[in-house]
Amino acid sequence: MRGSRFGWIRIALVILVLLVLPKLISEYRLNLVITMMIYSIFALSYNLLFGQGGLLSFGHAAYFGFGAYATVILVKQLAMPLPLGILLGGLAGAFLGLAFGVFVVRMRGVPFALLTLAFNQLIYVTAEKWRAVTGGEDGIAFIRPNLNLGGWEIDLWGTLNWYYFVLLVTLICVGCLWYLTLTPLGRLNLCMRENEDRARFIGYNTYASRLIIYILSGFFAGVAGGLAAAFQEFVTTTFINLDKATDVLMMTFIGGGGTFFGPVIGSCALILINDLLSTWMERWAIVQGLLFILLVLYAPNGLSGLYRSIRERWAKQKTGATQP
Amino acid sequence: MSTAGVLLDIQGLFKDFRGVEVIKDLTLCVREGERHAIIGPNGAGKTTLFNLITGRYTPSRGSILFKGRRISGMAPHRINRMGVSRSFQITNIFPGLSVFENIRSAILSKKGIRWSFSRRVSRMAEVNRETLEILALIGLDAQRHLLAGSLDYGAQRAMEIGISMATDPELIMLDEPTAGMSIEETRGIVSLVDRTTRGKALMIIEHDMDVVFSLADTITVIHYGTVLASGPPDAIRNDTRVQEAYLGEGKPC
Amino acid sequence: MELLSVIPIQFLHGLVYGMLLFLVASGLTLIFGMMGVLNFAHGALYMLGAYFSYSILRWTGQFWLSMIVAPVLVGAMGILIERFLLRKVHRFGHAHELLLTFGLAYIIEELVKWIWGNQPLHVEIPAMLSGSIQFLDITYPTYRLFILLISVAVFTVLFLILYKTRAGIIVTAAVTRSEMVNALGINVPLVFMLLFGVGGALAGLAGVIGGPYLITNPGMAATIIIDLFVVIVVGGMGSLQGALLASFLIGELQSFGILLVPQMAVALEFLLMAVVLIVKPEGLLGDKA
Repeated sequence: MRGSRFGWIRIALVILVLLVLPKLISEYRLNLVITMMIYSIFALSYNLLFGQGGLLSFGHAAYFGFGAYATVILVKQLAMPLPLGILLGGLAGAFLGLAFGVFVVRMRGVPFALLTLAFNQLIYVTAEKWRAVTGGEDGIAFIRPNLNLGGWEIDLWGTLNWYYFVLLVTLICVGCLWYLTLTPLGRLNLCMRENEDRARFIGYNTYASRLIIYILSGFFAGVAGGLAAAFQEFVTTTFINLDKATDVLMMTFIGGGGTFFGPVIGSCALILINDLLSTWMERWAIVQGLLFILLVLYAPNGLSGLYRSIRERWAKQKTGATQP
Repeated sequence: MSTAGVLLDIQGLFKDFRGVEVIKDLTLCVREGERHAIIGPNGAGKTTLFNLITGRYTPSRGSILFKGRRISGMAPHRINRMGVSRSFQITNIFPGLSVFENIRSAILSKKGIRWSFSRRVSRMAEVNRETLEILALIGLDAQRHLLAGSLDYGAQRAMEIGISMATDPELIMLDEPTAGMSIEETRGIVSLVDRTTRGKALMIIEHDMDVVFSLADTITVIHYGTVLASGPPDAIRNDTRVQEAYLGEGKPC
Repeated sequence: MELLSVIPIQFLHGLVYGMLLFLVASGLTLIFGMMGVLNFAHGALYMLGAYFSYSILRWTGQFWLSMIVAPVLVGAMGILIERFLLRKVHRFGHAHELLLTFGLAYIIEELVKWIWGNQPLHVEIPAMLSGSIQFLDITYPTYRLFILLISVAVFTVLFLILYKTRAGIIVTAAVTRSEMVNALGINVPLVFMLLFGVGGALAGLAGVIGGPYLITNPGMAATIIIDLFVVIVVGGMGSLQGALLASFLIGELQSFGILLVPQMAVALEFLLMAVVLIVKPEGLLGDKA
């Protein structure tokens, strides 16, 4: 693998910085980083479909929101420990992924996009109307419970401990998703993106394989949703609406679905710029929309793809200059 | 005809598309180790026949048995797992993946390592060794890190065959492997096919009569969706009906 | 019985919305059937129709003028979008085209909020269309009947053009067999561009007449695009008759849903869609691929 040792050093550095970050930045900024981490998981789960699987979904908020509701309800009503609640939130996302996936993974391209969007709306409308369970538009508020590790109570209410908790979950999720890309199942996902028909004729059951990928994607979206709800100590229909579904699409696309960390870059960049610019510029969303359109037109692999092609061109020029 | 050694047994096969019968009452046998060429004019139904055998289409009527088991109507991946593998007339590869990975995906499938998410592929020594063997066989080991889509046409055709071979089938079906190639390239592909399919049953659709006569020990002529003649090359060469229908006009140039 | 007497009224309500929906959906489904492009910005074009009409009304006070000018402007925008943006990403495939039109819808919505504000706008309807009409023992708002009349008139003309004229036959042929039409030497890109213009204009017209009825607000694009997508899936992707049937069904479903199962009303169309997908995945009148 190209520069893999260098890659490890880089990853270790990033983790180190994340570990000491609370010492370096204000609590306000730390909260921003927590948001970035949660959305990174969400965007990476989305990229399992988008960048790696070649499927454009307009309905990934369904799994995020379903996970969020599941976590909140389980933790609040059944007094479950938070880590278990978040894990079950992920499983709820996976379950919904199975239920919808049975229908949607038959499709590709535009029909896939349409169907995922419609299913997202179905879930959204259900959350809005089934007030007894979801609280409708008012949502459900709850308090992040303390973490109990065999008698040792850790207070998750404070930003610092909560930051480390989210960091731990994020590292686990990102690690799993990264490892997946190195395994046969992860590689198969790429094969199906490239040529699903061919994969079928060398013995892959592509329908079932896509379904498994879809379920996994739902799982990690559900975990992200559970974390987000626990972070805000609140869940409402905005967790599950079309805006949420298109947010994750924008983050992933702008960052670039073609590289593993592209979606992470996209979500961090958008959250950061949104925070910096929205105070100065009321109409920041127009800038974001323009950036998106420009990338769609001129850099279909997003910012990370743009960076990569610039670097390659630069490298080519350099070798071209030395060779003749 | 005895049934001993029969690998593929097609009886009374029909296929119609919205009322148009593309295959009608086609009966055909392929024995173990046989090298069977399918020839016939354009539109005779050769590729449709391949699509019926490999599960892309479901026959309207009739049966296809492979090793005595009915495969007509089965899903393509199940037919492939039973030991039937095919290549395509129009190059059908994974263009955005490396040459190595193209072949490896087929090796993984052959070994049944399809959904594993606990082990890394790079650590699977056996898989990677077999992949390199196939790459050496098709002469693409030097290009293994390149994207498959960036290869030239001839190399892509070789890869097409390589992917089909890599699942280690008992019956390999090649759909015009030399389509669009120069004489030089065709010679390369013929020797590749000859080397890689030795000892296996081979079905090959081919327009180039030199290729057909150099590779096949049995030839079946398909005309208007049914078998016009079937037998050893010499018998086919001298068959007057075949000459009328096909060889006369479609003489290799 | 109380319920019985409201049935005709509810039916009319459903019909009005259904036909308005079809007015927007017709362009969307034709473009989709013909080019495989699903125009996410189609709802935004409809919204622009409503806002353009609002501004024209404020400057001139002429409702009838706005009914002509606003659709023409929106149609021109449709042409510009096809010619200068969509064509550029065509080679990346349909999903990429969908991304582009999604981005456009996003920007248009933000621009509308910027220019006209976040608040719903009140659009005055002409005096002759306000009030209501008495027929037998039913009283019905004149303006809604006007919407119905315009919609039916437009799609009657549309069907006549599509199935009775040479140009229309080319378009319908292109929907099912675009490669054949290409082979016949017809300038397919030009036909696509004009179709975008006509589809946009129809959406714009729907916006003009629908604005006063459904309230002109920045969320109206997002609201209608969901209904439009359901229409496309339920009716069969690319089928005009299917879109008509589906629009009618969704209009009635919403209308009677609110009456009978108010809690569930908004979910009904998605349930309908789910049922269609399970029973007939290609849509009610769709072609089996």
